[in-house]
Amino acid sequence: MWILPEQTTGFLNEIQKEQLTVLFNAILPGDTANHVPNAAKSGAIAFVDLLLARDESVFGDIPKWKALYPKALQIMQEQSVTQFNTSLKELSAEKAASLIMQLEAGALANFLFNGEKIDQPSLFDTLRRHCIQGCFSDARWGGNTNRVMWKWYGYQEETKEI
Amino acid sequence: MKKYDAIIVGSGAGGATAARVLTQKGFTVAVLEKGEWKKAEDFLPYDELHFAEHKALTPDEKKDPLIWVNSKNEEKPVHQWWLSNMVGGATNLWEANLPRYTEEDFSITKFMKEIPTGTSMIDWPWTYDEFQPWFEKAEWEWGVSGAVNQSAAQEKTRPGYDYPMPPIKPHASNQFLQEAFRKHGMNPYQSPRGINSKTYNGRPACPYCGYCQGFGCAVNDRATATNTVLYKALETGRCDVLTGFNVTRLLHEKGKIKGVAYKTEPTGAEKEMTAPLVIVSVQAIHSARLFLNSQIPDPNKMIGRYFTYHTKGAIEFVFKNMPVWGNYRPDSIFQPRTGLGSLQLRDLYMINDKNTYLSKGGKFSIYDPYTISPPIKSISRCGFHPKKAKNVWGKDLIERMIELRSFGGASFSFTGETMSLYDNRVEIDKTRNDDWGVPLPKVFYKHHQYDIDLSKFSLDKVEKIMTDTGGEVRLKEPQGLENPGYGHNHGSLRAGKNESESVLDTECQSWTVKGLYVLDSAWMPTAGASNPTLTQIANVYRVCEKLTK
Repeated sequence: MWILPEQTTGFLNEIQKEQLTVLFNAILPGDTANHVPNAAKSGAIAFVDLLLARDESVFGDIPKWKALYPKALQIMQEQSVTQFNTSLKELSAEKAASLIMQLEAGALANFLFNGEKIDQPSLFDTLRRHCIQGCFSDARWGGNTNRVMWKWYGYQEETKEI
Repeated sequence: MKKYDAIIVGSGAGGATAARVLTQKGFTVAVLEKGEWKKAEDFLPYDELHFAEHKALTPDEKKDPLIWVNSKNEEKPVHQWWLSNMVGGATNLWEANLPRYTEEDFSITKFMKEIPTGTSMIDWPWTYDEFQPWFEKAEWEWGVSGAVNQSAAQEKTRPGYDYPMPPIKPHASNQFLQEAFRKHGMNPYQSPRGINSKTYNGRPACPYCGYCQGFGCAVNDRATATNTVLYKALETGRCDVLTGFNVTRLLHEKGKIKGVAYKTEPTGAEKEMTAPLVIVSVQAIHSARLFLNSQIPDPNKMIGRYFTYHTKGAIEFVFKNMPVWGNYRPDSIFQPRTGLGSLQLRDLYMINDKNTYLSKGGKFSIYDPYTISPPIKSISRCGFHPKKAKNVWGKDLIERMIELRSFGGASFSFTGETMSLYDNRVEIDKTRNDDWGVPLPKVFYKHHQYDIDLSKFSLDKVEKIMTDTGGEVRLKEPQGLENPGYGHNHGSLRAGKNESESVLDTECQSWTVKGLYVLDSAWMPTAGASNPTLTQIANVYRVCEKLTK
């Protein structure tokens, strides 16, 4: 049996978590009328926070992501200020969706961290994948809080309205 | 070092079955496996993130990729998700869909109206009838559940024959889908599966946990090379499974096999083991790689050539006129909601349509898109046609998630005939090695226009029937020109009657190195149009039953 090492401390600071909340809620926004929890309420931010604090013995790509996230969040913050004159953590859902749409298309100008080019479609893929993983993985990884998304989705039990 | 009558390279479907047959015949065999033993409990807990998303059971894509050369001649390292370096090989991770290849595959020139120019679509040097007893042996030794005569399109079997177990539980969508296709003269049926529908050979029945393709079976109800044939070989006392043994080269001299060179540590020294018989079964790409790395004489430049991946295609529907399939009630006659699905649609194996030049076709496996895999993948992979083909996010993602949990759906996965082309090939990368210092395989691959047309035609046929039944397309991915890699790979070391046109003789022995056999799917002269492993296993019985010390 594979045992996931315990991880209690996270990697992201509070501002980074707020920034990631905006981006993840644009990717998986939830739906009040249909009782769908959004990414943040599903625990996806906590999931990434703990995942990045783990080491490569858990998964070989973690060091790469550990280096990527602070850079990516800083660039997205700069993009938010440049385009909307608003801090990323305070961006509206509509404007956050616009940023994600441009990121997916590789259309954000000057997407550089200290001169280093970050591949926009790859970053979109990483954010989308981690967002879905954080919502739908086993709760032992720190997301899917109290199996909230499994309960809503009907995975391993009948669907429940959350 | 202990002396063996035979060395078997690889412990997957081919190697383990060879060990089973040879030990029954009194051979002593060493099975050399690069990976380690895994037990059913090693596949616990049910953790999609660890086992699938974090690729815990497949080769490290940074240390051990294959190099794919696309149609623009660009080289890209590819994760070999279809390989598993552990005892039992990829049978630890398969879905165990075990159809037979049939006459249409063995004798293709009788069935293809026109062989496209520039392709090499040839008859196999054996017939389906010759293979029938070996199919039966494979089905009973590996434990296949299924039922004959469900559909006219199904594989023909001997009168009076049936599988050792009845089919697995039907999926709750079966009746709806079967009625829809029957209106068009087509009959989807429950597929033969290496999944126990009841206790068989000491292994329990499937609980339909949904951790199937890509996951190890923690229940041990799914057949693997280990829990079917390899343990029987071990019971004879004539089989040693040597784990951590990575065979780097085949040793040969004056047209005869001498043995193998291997390493037990990535940075360690190469050692040698000798035997008069060597059987290679490490999947078609890597068997060709081993031949090329070993300088097996190749006077006709055939090693690695006519390599084939199956033609693929996927199409998926939501039926807003149907509620989500199934439930979790323990008394249900259907698979619980975590079940993947269970139907095959084989009515397009041969195409008889005056509006197309296509003749040899393929078949579909039908799944429930809601539970085709555990939730991370089922959500990640979804499309939202016609708005978005893939990578759905935002409000579209939420809407698709609501559809998946609310309505019935169907996901069709196509496996089709593939044109054999000389230029589709496995070579050795001259500049890159894996972490054991062995040159990486380099695969050049482009699908022929026939493959592309076939996939589109077949998907369109299904789309017409399903949309007439109230379905709305959500994902449509026909085969394109490119193929970065696929689990159904064959043909890189073709077997044939004529030395000038093949690498192996009709007994799958090298024409140029006697005593060297290949028993994965590399020997297949053409790709066929079904999941290849049962035919591969049947061939192992056919070949090994004739071998003598």
